[in-house]
Amino acid sequence: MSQHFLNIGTRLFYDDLKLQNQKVTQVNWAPLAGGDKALIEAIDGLSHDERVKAANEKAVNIVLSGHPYLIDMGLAKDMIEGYHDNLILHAGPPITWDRMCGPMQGAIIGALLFEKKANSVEEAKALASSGKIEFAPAHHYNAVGPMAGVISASMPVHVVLNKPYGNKAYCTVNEGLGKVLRFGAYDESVIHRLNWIKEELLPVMKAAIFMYDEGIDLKSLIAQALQMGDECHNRNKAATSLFFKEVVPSILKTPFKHDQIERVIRFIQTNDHYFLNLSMPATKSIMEAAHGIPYSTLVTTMARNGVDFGLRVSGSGVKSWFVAPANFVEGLLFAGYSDEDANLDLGDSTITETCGIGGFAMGASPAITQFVGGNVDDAMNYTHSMFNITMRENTSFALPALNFMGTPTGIDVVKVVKRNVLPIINTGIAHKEAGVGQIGAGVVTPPMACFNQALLASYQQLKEKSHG
Amino acid sequence: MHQSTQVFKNRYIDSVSLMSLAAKVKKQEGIQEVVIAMATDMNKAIIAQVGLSTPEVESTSVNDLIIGVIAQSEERVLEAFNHIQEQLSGGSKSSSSSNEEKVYTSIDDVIEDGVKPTVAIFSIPGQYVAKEAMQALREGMDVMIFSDNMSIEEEVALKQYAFDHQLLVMGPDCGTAVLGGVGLCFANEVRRGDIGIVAASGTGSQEVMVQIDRLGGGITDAIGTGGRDLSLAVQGLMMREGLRRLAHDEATKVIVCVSKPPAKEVKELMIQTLKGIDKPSVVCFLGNKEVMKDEGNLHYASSLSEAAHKAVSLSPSFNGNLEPFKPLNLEKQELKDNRFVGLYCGGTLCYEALDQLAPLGLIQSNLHHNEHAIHDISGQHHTLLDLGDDEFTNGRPHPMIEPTLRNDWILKAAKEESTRVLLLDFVLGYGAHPQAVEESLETLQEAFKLASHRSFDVVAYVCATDKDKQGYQSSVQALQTIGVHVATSNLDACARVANLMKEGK
Repeated sequence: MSQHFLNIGTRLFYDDLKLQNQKVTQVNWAPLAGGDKALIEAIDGLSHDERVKAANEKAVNIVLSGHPYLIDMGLAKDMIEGYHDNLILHAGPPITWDRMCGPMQGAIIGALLFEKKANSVEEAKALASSGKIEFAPAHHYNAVGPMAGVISASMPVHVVLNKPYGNKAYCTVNEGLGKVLRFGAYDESVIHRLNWIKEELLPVMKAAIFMYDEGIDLKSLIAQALQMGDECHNRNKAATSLFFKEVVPSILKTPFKHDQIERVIRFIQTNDHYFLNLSMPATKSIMEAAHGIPYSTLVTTMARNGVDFGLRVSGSGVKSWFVAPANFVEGLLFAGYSDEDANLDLGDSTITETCGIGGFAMGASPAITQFVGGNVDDAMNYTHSMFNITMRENTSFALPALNFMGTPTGIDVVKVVKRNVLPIINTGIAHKEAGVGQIGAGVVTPPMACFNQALLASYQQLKEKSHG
Repeated sequence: MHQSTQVFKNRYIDSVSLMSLAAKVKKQEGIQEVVIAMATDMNKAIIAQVGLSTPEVESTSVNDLIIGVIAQSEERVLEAFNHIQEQLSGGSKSSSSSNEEKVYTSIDDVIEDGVKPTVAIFSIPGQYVAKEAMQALREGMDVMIFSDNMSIEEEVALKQYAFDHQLLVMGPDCGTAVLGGVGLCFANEVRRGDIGIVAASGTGSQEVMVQIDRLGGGITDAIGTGGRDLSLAVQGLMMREGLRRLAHDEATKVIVCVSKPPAKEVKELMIQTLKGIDKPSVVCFLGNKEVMKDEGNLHYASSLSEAAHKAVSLSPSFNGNLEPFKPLNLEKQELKDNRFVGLYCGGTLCYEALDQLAPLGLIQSNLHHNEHAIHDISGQHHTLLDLGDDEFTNGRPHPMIEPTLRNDWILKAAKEESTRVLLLDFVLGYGAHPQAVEESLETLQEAFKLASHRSFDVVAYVCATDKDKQGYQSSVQALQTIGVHVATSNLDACARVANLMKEGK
């Protein structure tokens, strides 16, 4: 029998086995989970359990076979099940008004003004802190929102259907850059734009979308955009262009006035991030279908509210969040801003990474590295390294620069802790004061503590179920 | 003095690499202290001791890397940091480049990838080995454990499992093995032949294989067991598994068994096991005071050289000329104001010297566990130090990996007026420093200068074959050129020491 050596530890012995022309495999070993006994036990227990394996296999297959279509638009209160007039949704895990970051409070003030529930900023603040308004994570309503992620009753939302599984997800319309609600701005121009989206854009887009029998195939648009330099989180230039190319002929067929149609087309054409608010509900609908599979350690949600980072795991309950303080985003800031101006990591847009695009598909998007810092090699390495913590390769999203390798898909809590590798998130940086807007972009990771908690909880559930 | 300490979160690197790098940086001019270590409690204590601790260091965990430097100037500190980071990043770059084969971070990943190794070698911190080694055993791998600091209970559990499944657990603290002609960790490149070795000691095994090679013989396998295998607790489990393998191996015609004297009942067990094998065997219980007579297929040797000699003489494939073996048999003598100092890298070589040179009078050594146990070379008595022992390697690489660690000792010994003869070993081969001899040449020249006003000799033994990567002949020549007496075996080195001592001043 021929010998094959496994060298666990110092490279010295590896080198001298190589010198003897031997077959050697190197393990660059490091203490598992920082030597934490409870975590190690959980890793061992979950890694070798057949039920966990089967549940993860089932969950990841749901993710890989998900197929989202844009099928409709409408007001949040009409489209989202269980919505009520005093409900305001926000990004990330649950948070109370007093703990919210500046941009989120600003966005809520803006939403209350837009809904005409308050006539002044002071009134809005008083109402928000009065307890009469219910705040909830958008994720609890199958919705997502970039940055502050604020959704109120009369805001138009996209309706995305994950056809194979019949579940829907929702997201607002992207307002563009600068003074916008998602960065906490609430001045007249912001409210004016929100009203315009509701009054002019919504009817045109709703009519255009209705011209498609099956809706607009978002999976196909994402797949093409990934081959055109987008990663569909921080860069949506290609996807927006593809969407524009797709939808404009239909828009032109709608029975609205020429100047209204022109304003709608211009709005999409001048906003490179328009598609972000489609890639987000698309990936949300895919991930939601895989949520709620007992024993599965698949991460179905990663989201930030600007104060905390939250995770949800398929095998845990619908509203179970594993929460830890959000990280500071390392990146490039626009001229005139410094680290002190930056808000902590914010927004639901990490749903893209959760589904294997965004930061996980950085290898598709060399252009983004100029924006977030680093070089093209870094982008390739980010994608490669994410295979350490994911379950499968999504061949629907093939990346040409990586020899048509699929995107790393299906984050496994166990692998994250075991390999001590955190998901890479490619994100915008908000000013910490309401309404200033985006001040940069960069790369960030979730706090490991979320994954440690999720791992221990998953193991606890496994043990409880094993004992009857 | 200027100093700086930096913490690199989540950057695990194995300690052997870190210690070697630290030793190298420390040699550079203007550098007073260098610590490059993972943030274990022990390392943090060391860092605090040398005054490099910071509040950040105190809050680190085991996967964090700490680098601390004390140097003459700010620039030196900066240079050292740059150098260290360059060296460390070089390592990770080469391991991630796509041309190279895949590097894993856990055994699980290797298995998951469908890779099926046959032998696992562990050089990771001892407290983590048992779990990983058990996984390797479950996957059907033989295991070699270079790491020490494993509990005896863990060792027994692993070895019992291995024994029941006819697998090997070589170690813990096992430095040498040759399997199928391949040297693992510290081993020499030896002619292939028909002699199989099972050894509870690393350099003991190396000396036997080197001497077999020099006599014209060759080996099949050299199986290591780790030093505690023949204890009452472990019951020679791996010595027995090793013997079972060699007994069944068709290529093996002669068996050599090397160990320090085992516990009495384990010794009996070994002898019975060997008697049950229908191949001739040679047993060397180094330092055994009891006279053992050959019986049947079982032969005894009282030195490593004799074990090699007997094995070759029993080897059916050997048809060369073998001169009769000459044991050392030193006479008792009292030497006044005259002593030898031996500074060994090889633990078993040191132990053999301690045994063979005993007639020359009281020898103090760190290998003693009595009142003659010492940890320094001062004093008037003969001295033998095993510099590879835990007390000298704590937080530092083994002197076989980093020979410069012995250089300070060499100078110290030369300065001692009472040192008549300095005895050194140079263990070459796989695992050992690529320039094990060259690294000490300058120091030796300085030693000769320091002692130029008196009678002073240096005896060295180069434990190597002419096939070893460092070059045996060139190593010997380099030593001879500067006036070192080079012995042909560790036993011969002892003989030369005795002769020089007899000559006196």
